[in-house]
Amino acid sequence: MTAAALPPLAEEWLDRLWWAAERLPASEQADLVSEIESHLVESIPPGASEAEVRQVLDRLGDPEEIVAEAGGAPEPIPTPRRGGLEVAAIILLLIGGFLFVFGWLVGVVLLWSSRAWTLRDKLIGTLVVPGGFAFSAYLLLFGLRWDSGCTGTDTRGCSGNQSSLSSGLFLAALLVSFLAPIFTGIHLARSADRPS
Amino acid sequence: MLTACLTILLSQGTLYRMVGEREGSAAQLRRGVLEFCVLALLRDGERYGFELVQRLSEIEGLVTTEGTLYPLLGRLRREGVVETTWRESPSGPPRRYYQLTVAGKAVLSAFTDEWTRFRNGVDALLGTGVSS
Repeated sequence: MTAAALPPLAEEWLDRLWWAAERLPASEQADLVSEIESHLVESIPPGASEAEVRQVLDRLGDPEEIVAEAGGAPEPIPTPRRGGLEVAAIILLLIGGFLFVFGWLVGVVLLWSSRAWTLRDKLIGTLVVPGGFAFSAYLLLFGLRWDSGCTGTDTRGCSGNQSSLSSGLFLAALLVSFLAPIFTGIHLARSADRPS
Repeated sequence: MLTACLTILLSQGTLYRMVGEREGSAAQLRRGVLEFCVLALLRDGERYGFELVQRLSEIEGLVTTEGTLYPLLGRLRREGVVETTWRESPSGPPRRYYQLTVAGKAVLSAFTDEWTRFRNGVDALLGTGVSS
Protein backbone atom coordinates (compact mmCIF):
# COMPACT_ATOMS: atom_id res chain seq x y z
CA MET A 1 0.00 0.00 0.00
CA THR A 2 3.04 2.22 -0.08
CA ALA A 3 2.69 4.81 -2.79
CA ALA A 4 6.16 6.23 -2.47
CA ALA A 5 9.07 3.95 -1.83
CA LEU A 6 10.55 4.43 1.63
CA PRO A 7 14.26 4.96 2.07
CA PRO A 8 16.11 1.68 2.78
CA LEU A 9 16.75 2.73 6.37
CA ALA A 10 13.01 3.10 7.01
CA GLU A 11 12.21 -0.14 5.18
CA GLU A 12 14.70 -1.91 7.38
CA TRP A 13 13.13 -0.47 10.50
CA LEU A 14 9.67 -1.47 9.25
CA ASP A 15 10.91 -5.02 8.67
CA ARG A 16 12.12 -5.18 12.24
CA LEU A 17 8.70 -3.99 13.39
CA TRP A 18 7.00 -6.63 11.25
CA TRP A 19 9.10 -9.40 12.76
CA ALA A 20 8.67 -8.11 16.30
CA ALA A 21 4.90 -7.94 15.72
CA GLU A 22 4.82 -11.61 14.66
CA ARG A 23 3.77 -12.48 18.18
CA LEU A 24 0.61 -10.39 17.94
CA PRO A 25 -2.60 -11.77 16.43
CA ALA A 26 -2.26 -11.56 12.63
CA SER A 27 -4.87 -8.81 12.17
CA GLU A 28 -3.29 -6.65 14.86
CA GLN A 29 0.11 -7.17 13.34
CA ALA A 30 -1.13 -6.04 9.92
CA ASP A 31 -2.97 -3.02 11.36
CA LEU A 32 -0.05 -1.87 13.45
CA VAL A 33 2.50 -2.20 10.68
CA SER A 34 0.29 -0.55 8.06
CA GLU A 35 -0.50 2.39 10.37
CA ILE A 36 3.16 2.96 11.10
CA GLU A 37 4.04 2.53 7.46
CA SER A 38 1.58 5.34 6.69
CA HIS A 39 3.26 7.37 9.42
CA LEU A 40 6.63 6.86 7.74
CA VAL A 41 5.27 7.75 4.31
CA GLU A 42 3.66 10.91 5.71
CA SER A 43 6.64 12.05 7.74
CA ILE A 44 9.53 11.25 5.40
CA PRO A 45 9.45 13.59 2.41
CA PRO A 46 10.84 12.21 -0.86
CA GLY A 47 14.57 12.77 -0.99
CA ALA A 48 14.92 13.16 2.77
CA SER A 49 18.47 12.97 4.06
CA GLU A 50 19.62 10.03 6.11
CA ALA A 51 19.74 12.25 9.20
CA GLU A 52 16.12 13.27 8.68
CA VAL A 53 15.06 9.64 8.31
CA ARG A 54 16.95 8.70 11.45
CA GLN A 55 15.24 11.48 13.34
CA VAL A 56 11.80 10.23 12.31
CA LEU A 57 12.73 6.69 13.35
CA ASP A 58 14.17 7.86 16.66
CA ARG A 59 10.95 9.66 17.44
CA LEU A 60 8.97 6.52 16.64
CA GLY A 61 11.06 4.49 19.05
CA ASP A 62 12.17 0.90 19.16
CA PRO A 63 10.05 -1.72 17.31
CA GLU A 64 10.26 -4.10 20.28
CA GLU A 65 8.99 -1.40 22.61
CA ILE A 66 6.10 -0.59 20.28
CA VAL A 67 5.05 -4.24 20.07
CA ALA A 68 5.36 -4.62 23.84
CA GLU A 69 2.97 -1.66 24.13
CA ALA A 70 0.58 -3.52 21.82
CA GLY A 71 0.40 -6.26 24.42
CA GLY A 72 2.87 -8.65 22.85
CA ALA A 73 5.03 -9.64 25.79
CA PRO A 74 8.65 -8.95 24.98
CA GLU A 75 10.70 -11.92 23.84
CA PRO A 76 11.10 -14.02 26.97
CA ILE A 77 14.56 -13.50 28.35
CA PRO A 78 15.70 -17.04 29.07
CA THR A 79 16.25 -17.31 32.78
CA PRO A 80 19.41 -19.21 33.50
CA ARG A 81 18.20 -22.77 33.86
CA ARG A 82 20.49 -25.74 33.79
CA GLY A 83 23.48 -24.34 31.94
CA GLY A 84 27.16 -25.20 32.00
CA LEU A 85 27.53 -23.71 35.44
CA GLU A 86 24.77 -25.87 36.92
CA VAL A 87 26.08 -29.06 35.29
CA ALA A 88 29.59 -28.32 36.57
CA ALA A 89 28.21 -27.64 40.04
CA ILE A 90 26.38 -30.98 40.19
CA ILE A 91 29.38 -32.95 38.88
CA LEU A 92 31.77 -31.27 41.30
CA LEU A 93 29.39 -31.77 44.23
CA LEU A 94 29.24 -35.48 43.45
CA ILE A 95 32.83 -36.35 42.58
CA GLY A 96 34.77 -33.16 43.23
CA GLY A 97 35.59 -34.46 46.70
CA PHE A 98 38.13 -36.80 45.12
CA LEU A 99 40.18 -33.79 44.06
CA PHE A 100 41.55 -33.24 47.56
CA VAL A 101 38.14 -31.95 48.73
CA PHE A 102 38.94 -28.79 46.77
CA GLY A 103 36.77 -29.84 43.80
CA TRP A 104 33.79 -30.25 46.06
CA LEU A 105 34.35 -26.78 47.52
CA VAL A 106 34.36 -25.32 44.01
CA GLY A 107 31.11 -27.19 43.43
CA VAL A 108 29.60 -25.56 46.52
CA VAL A 109 30.67 -22.12 45.33
CA LEU A 110 29.10 -22.76 41.90
CA LEU A 111 25.95 -24.10 43.56
CA TRP A 112 25.52 -20.97 45.63
CA SER A 113 26.35 -18.60 42.80
CA SER A 114 23.80 -20.13 40.41
CA ARG A 115 20.41 -18.47 40.15
CA ALA A 116 18.77 -21.70 39.01
CA TRP A 117 18.38 -23.04 42.55
CA THR A 118 16.40 -21.96 45.56
CA LEU A 119 17.90 -21.56 49.00
CA ARG A 120 16.45 -24.93 49.96
CA ASP A 121 18.08 -26.63 46.98
CA LYS A 122 21.38 -25.02 47.87
CA LEU A 123 21.19 -26.22 51.46
CA ILE A 124 20.35 -29.74 50.32
CA GLY A 125 23.18 -29.66 47.79
CA THR A 126 25.65 -28.54 50.43
CA LEU A 127 24.57 -30.55 53.44
CA VAL A 128 23.26 -33.83 52.08
CA VAL A 129 26.54 -35.64 52.22
CA PRO A 130 29.25 -33.00 52.13
CA GLY A 131 31.99 -34.25 49.85
CA GLY A 132 29.64 -36.34 47.71
CA PHE A 133 30.89 -39.79 46.74
CA ALA A 134 34.26 -39.01 48.24
CA PHE A 135 32.56 -39.22 51.60
CA SER A 136 31.34 -42.77 50.97
CA ALA A 137 34.72 -43.70 49.51
CA TYR A 138 36.35 -42.38 52.66
CA LEU A 139 33.85 -44.32 54.74
CA LEU A 140 34.60 -47.47 52.76
CA LEU A 141 38.35 -46.99 53.14
CA PHE A 142 38.02 -46.30 56.85
CA GLY A 143 35.75 -49.33 57.23
CA LEU A 144 38.13 -51.67 55.45
CA ARG A 145 41.03 -50.54 57.57
CA TRP A 146 38.92 -51.00 60.66
CA ASP A 147 37.86 -54.39 59.32
CA SER A 148 41.39 -55.47 58.54
CA GLY A 149 42.38 -54.36 62.02
CA CYS A 150 39.86 -56.87 63.29
CA THR A 151 40.95 -59.75 61.11
CA GLY A 152 44.58 -59.24 61.94
CA THR A 153 46.53 -61.19 64.50
CA ASP A 154 45.32 -58.98 67.29
CA THR A 155 41.65 -59.98 67.56
CA ARG A 156 40.93 -58.50 70.95
CA GLY A 157 37.62 -56.65 71.07
CA CYS A 158 36.47 -58.25 67.86
CA SER A 159 33.94 -60.69 69.17
CA GLY A 160 31.73 -62.10 66.44
CA ASN A 161 28.39 -60.58 67.51
CA GLN A 162 29.66 -57.04 67.98
CA SER A 163 31.44 -57.19 64.69
CA SER A 164 28.43 -58.27 62.70
CA LEU A 165 26.25 -55.64 64.38
CA SER A 166 28.67 -52.81 63.66
CA SER A 167 29.36 -54.07 60.18
CA GLY A 168 25.60 -54.03 59.56
CA LEU A 169 25.46 -50.42 60.71
CA PHE A 170 28.52 -49.69 58.70
CA LEU A 171 27.01 -51.15 55.53
CA ALA A 172 23.83 -49.12 56.05
CA ALA A 173 25.84 -45.92 56.54
CA LEU A 174 27.87 -46.75 53.45
CA LEU A 175 24.73 -47.36 51.41
CA VAL A 176 23.14 -44.13 52.59
CA SER A 177 26.29 -42.14 51.96
CA PHE A 178 26.40 -43.61 48.46
CA LEU A 179 22.71 -43.18 47.60
CA ALA A 180 22.20 -39.74 49.14
CA PRO A 181 24.51 -37.91 46.72
CA ILE A 182 22.75 -39.65 43.81
CA PHE A 183 19.37 -38.43 44.99
CA THR A 184 20.76 -34.98 45.70
CA GLY A 185 22.26 -34.87 42.21
CA ILE A 186 18.95 -35.91 40.61
CA HIS A 187 17.05 -33.42 42.76
CA LEU A 188 19.38 -30.56 41.80
CA ALA A 189 19.27 -31.47 38.11
CA ARG A 190 15.48 -31.51 38.19
CA SER A 191 14.98 -28.30 40.09
CA ALA A 192 17.47 -26.53 37.83
CA ASP A 193 15.25 -27.52 34.89
CA ARG A 194 12.06 -26.42 36.57
CA PRO A 195 11.11 -22.84 35.76
CA SER A 196 11.12 -20.86 38.98
CA MET B 1 37.59 12.00 55.06
CA LEU B 2 37.17 8.86 53.01
CA THR B 3 34.11 7.87 55.01
CA ALA B 4 32.60 11.29 54.46
CA CYS B 5 33.18 10.99 50.70
CA LEU B 6 31.66 7.53 50.65
CA THR B 7 28.65 8.68 52.63
CA ILE B 8 28.06 11.54 50.22
CA LEU B 9 28.44 9.24 47.22
CA LEU B 10 26.10 6.66 48.69
CA SER B 11 23.45 9.17 49.66
CA GLN B 12 23.61 10.71 46.20
CA GLY B 13 23.14 7.26 44.72
CA THR B 14 20.04 6.80 46.85
CA LEU B 15 18.81 10.23 45.84
CA TYR B 16 19.25 9.45 42.14
CA ARG B 17 17.44 6.18 42.60
CA MET B 18 14.56 7.85 44.39
CA VAL B 19 14.24 10.52 41.72
CA GLY B 20 14.41 7.77 39.10
CA GLU B 21 11.54 5.90 40.71
CA ARG B 22 9.48 9.07 40.88
CA GLU B 23 10.12 9.62 37.18
CA GLY B 24 8.78 6.13 36.65
CA SER B 25 5.49 7.04 38.32
CA ALA B 26 5.32 10.29 36.33
CA ALA B 27 5.60 8.16 33.20
CA GLN B 28 2.72 6.02 34.46
CA LEU B 29 0.66 9.13 35.04
CA ARG B 30 1.34 10.22 31.45
CA ARG B 31 0.41 6.81 30.13
CA GLY B 32 -2.78 6.88 32.13
CA VAL B 33 -4.04 10.14 30.68
CA LEU B 34 -2.79 9.56 27.14
CA GLU B 35 -5.81 7.63 25.94
CA PHE B 36 -8.14 10.34 27.17
CA CYS B 37 -6.07 12.90 25.31
CA VAL B 38 -6.66 10.86 22.14
CA LEU B 39 -10.40 10.86 22.82
CA ALA B 40 -10.31 14.60 23.52
CA LEU B 41 -8.59 15.25 20.18
CA LEU B 42 -11.42 13.40 18.45
CA ARG B 43 -14.16 15.35 20.27
CA ASP B 44 -14.57 17.81 17.43
CA GLY B 45 -14.40 15.35 14.60
CA GLU B 46 -12.43 12.64 12.93
CA ARG B 47 -8.66 12.64 12.51
CA TYR B 48 -6.25 10.22 10.93
CA GLY B 49 -3.53 8.39 12.84
CA PHE B 50 -0.54 10.46 11.84
CA GLU B 51 -2.42 13.67 12.58
CA LEU B 52 -3.34 12.42 16.07
CA VAL B 53 0.24 11.42 16.77
CA GLN B 54 1.51 14.82 15.62
CA ARG B 55 -0.94 16.71 17.78
CA LEU B 56 -0.12 14.60 20.85
CA SER B 57 3.62 15.01 20.27
CA GLU B 58 3.20 18.77 20.36
CA ILE B 59 2.11 18.55 24.00
CA GLU B 60 5.28 18.83 26.02
CA GLY B 61 6.23 15.81 28.06
CA LEU B 62 3.22 13.73 27.03
CA VAL B 63 4.68 11.43 24.41
CA THR B 64 8.17 9.95 24.64
CA THR B 65 8.03 7.56 21.70
CA GLU B 66 5.53 8.27 18.94
CA GLY B 67 5.45 4.67 17.79
CA THR B 68 3.79 3.48 21.00
CA LEU B 69 0.74 5.62 20.22
CA TYR B 70 -0.30 3.30 17.39
CA PRO B 71 -0.82 0.27 19.63
CA LEU B 72 -2.91 2.59 21.83
CA LEU B 73 -5.06 3.58 18.85
CA GLY B 74 -5.51 -0.11 18.00
CA ARG B 75 -6.57 -0.88 21.56
CA LEU B 76 -9.10 1.97 21.65
CA ARG B 77 -10.56 0.64 18.41
CA ARG B 78 -10.85 -2.89 19.77
CA GLU B 79 -12.43 -1.57 22.94
CA GLY B 80 -15.05 0.16 20.82
CA VAL B 81 -14.45 3.72 22.04
CA VAL B 82 -13.31 4.78 18.58
CA GLU B 83 -14.15 3.52 15.11
CA THR B 84 -12.26 3.95 11.89
CA THR B 85 -12.93 4.53 8.23
CA TRP B 86 -10.51 4.48 5.34
CA ARG B 87 -10.45 7.55 3.13
CA GLU B 88 -8.39 8.50 0.14
CA SER B 89 -5.67 10.99 0.84
CA PRO B 90 -4.93 13.95 -1.45
CA SER B 91 -1.38 12.64 -1.54
CA GLY B 92 0.01 9.22 -0.74
CA PRO B 93 -1.72 6.09 0.54
CA PRO B 94 -5.30 6.02 1.91
CA ARG B 95 -5.65 7.16 5.51
CA ARG B 96 -7.43 5.50 8.38
CA TYR B 97 -9.63 8.09 10.11
CA TYR B 98 -10.56 7.70 13.76
CA GLN B 99 -13.74 9.01 15.33
CA LEU B 100 -15.45 8.68 18.69
CA THR B 101 -18.22 6.15 19.15
CA VAL B 102 -21.12 6.78 21.51
CA ALA B 103 -19.26 4.76 24.14
CA GLY B 104 -16.15 6.85 23.50
CA LYS B 105 -18.07 10.09 24.06
CA ALA B 106 -19.38 8.73 27.37
CA VAL B 107 -15.88 7.67 28.46
CA LEU B 108 -14.49 11.10 27.59
CA SER B 109 -17.21 12.92 29.46
CA ALA B 110 -16.78 10.73 32.55
CA PHE B 111 -13.03 11.28 32.48
CA THR B 112 -13.47 15.04 32.11
CA ASP B 113 -15.45 15.15 35.37
CA GLU B 114 -13.04 12.81 37.09
CA TRP B 115 -10.03 14.80 35.91
CA THR B 116 -11.44 18.10 37.09
CA ARG B 117 -11.99 16.78 40.59
CA PHE B 118 -8.61 15.04 40.63
CA ARG B 119 -6.78 18.11 39.35
CA ASN B 120 -8.45 20.46 41.80
CA GLY B 121 -7.61 18.19 44.70
CA VAL B 122 -3.97 17.80 43.72
CA ASP B 123 -3.64 21.52 42.92
CA ALA B 124 -4.96 22.37 46.36
CA LEU B 125 -2.36 20.12 47.98
CA LEU B 126 0.54 21.30 45.83
CA GLY B 127 -0.47 24.94 46.02
CA THR B 128 -0.42 25.09 42.25
CA GLY B 129 -4.03 26.04 41.72
CA VAL B 130 -4.86 29.13 39.67
CA SER B 131 -7.64 30.28 42.00
CA SER B 132 -6.49 32.74 44.64
